[in-house]
Amino acid sequence: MNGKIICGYRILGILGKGGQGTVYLAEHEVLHRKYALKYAYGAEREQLKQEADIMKELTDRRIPFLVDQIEEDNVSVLVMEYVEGVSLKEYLQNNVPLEEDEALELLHQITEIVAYLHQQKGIVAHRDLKPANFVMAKDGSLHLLDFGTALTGMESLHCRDLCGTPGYAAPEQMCGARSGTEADVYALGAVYAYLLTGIDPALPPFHPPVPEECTEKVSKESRRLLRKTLDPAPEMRLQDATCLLREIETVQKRKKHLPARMESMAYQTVLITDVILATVLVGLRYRERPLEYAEWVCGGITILLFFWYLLRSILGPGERFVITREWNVTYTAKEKWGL
Amino acid sequence: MLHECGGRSVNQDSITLQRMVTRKGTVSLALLCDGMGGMDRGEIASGYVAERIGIWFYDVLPKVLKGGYRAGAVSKALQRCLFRIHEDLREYGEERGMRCGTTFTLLLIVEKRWQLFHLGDSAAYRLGRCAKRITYPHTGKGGLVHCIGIGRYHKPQERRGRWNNTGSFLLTSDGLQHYLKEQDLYHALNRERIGNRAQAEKALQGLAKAAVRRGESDNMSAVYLRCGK
Repeated sequence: MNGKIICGYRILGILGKGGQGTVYLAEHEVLHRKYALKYAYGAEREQLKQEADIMKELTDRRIPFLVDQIEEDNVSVLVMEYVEGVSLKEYLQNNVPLEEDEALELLHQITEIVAYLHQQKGIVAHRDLKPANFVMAKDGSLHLLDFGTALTGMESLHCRDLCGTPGYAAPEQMCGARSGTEADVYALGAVYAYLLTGIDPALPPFHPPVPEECTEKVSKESRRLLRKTLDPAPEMRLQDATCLLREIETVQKRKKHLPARMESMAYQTVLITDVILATVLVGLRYRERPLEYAEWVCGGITILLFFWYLLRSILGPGERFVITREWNVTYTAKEKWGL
Repeated sequence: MLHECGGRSVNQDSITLQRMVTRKGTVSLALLCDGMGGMDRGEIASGYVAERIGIWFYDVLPKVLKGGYRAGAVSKALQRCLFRIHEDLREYGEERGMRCGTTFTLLLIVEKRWQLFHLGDSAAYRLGRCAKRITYPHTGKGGLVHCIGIGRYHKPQERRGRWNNTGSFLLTSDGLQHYLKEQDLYHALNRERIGNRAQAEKALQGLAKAAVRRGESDNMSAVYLRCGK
């Protein structure tokens, strides 16, 4: 198809292939500007029309603008702005796991774009958020692509079709139940888990890493954020990206909290110091008393701390059996997930 | 690892390698499935098995291993999963009026012990002082008799052993067996020759080229695993 001219656009190459058509890089014959052209044939044409309807309403610079929509006898074409840059997937392959601050900043940028969609009059749910659908432009800004599975309007937000990428798609999407903005929140949570752990949810076993798989450097706030976004029950999740954005900003502000490992070390230091102090004071009891009742206070604190630990170990979540996942390589010519 | 199309347009073989670090040690899995060329859409069957086994490895196996390693429990859990995969593939094939099958060779290493499950005409070799095939082919006069996804479910062949620092394993699809003998495999992959991953990959590529030179046109896939440094 390279070199072929369609409706005044010369095809330069393939940018990507997906379930909703093929995207080509093309150059306008007169303007000599590059555009992304999405082609659809047969039943996919209706879907492309729906995509165009959504895209024409979106005016944010982080979403490629729709230039033209061409309808011919057997093919529909969308002409869109071409965003030159690196896909976030490629960028992350060499850089994950990220430091928590960096991951939060990146998640904030991504969530801002999604929040813009969720704040639209008709509420737009993207429903296929994943690193491969974000492009990092040369100036470092992120752009969201591929609105092939996006839906708008309150009724269509609860459409019951199977869509999304396994691992990033919410459980309700994968089983064909109703899915809306909460599914986007789940996907954002999966992206954040990927950023923090380096474990790609799109690989077997096709679900995002749980907060316990994060390293001990990750703060409690971030773990809590992961729990709020990755809850399997959509009604228990944060309901849209605007809520998530607020949560991220709160975490960024509060993140003076000690990382989990430092917190545990602080507990241990207090306990050991306390035990040593109590022993020394008990030893000194009959010779000299530096402080009256000090040994009772130390002993009391030791007992309290002991019981606190005991209670936490009984009531708290059990130790996770799997510490990390390694390798995770699959070579297959099969294209789609499942049968 | 080797994953070559050979003389075909589509590689119907699928390979998956998984490893997890648990509180009780490292657990590794290598799986090679050869989607059958004679059957329609062999890559769907082999890819589906690789996918499902990947999920089983992370979702089911940790629960089995939590109380300690018991080969029997692992075997039962895997067979339950395999049976479900077999039924899914069979139904999928029947609905579309096509045959969708694959061979199955899985090596599971839990700390210092290994367990092998095998069904079909792929093969597993143990490389020590020589290369020894440790699986038998499930073939008859008309070709393959047992596989995943076609016909009645058959229990896979199972072998167990201890993983010592002197041996290594090789899983291959039938593409590497037709024209290569055990001596060829041993000569290319013995421990003295292989020092690192790059050398192993080069040796496997060399074997694939040798097979092609001798007339092989099938897909060729292999996984070489060795313990220790």
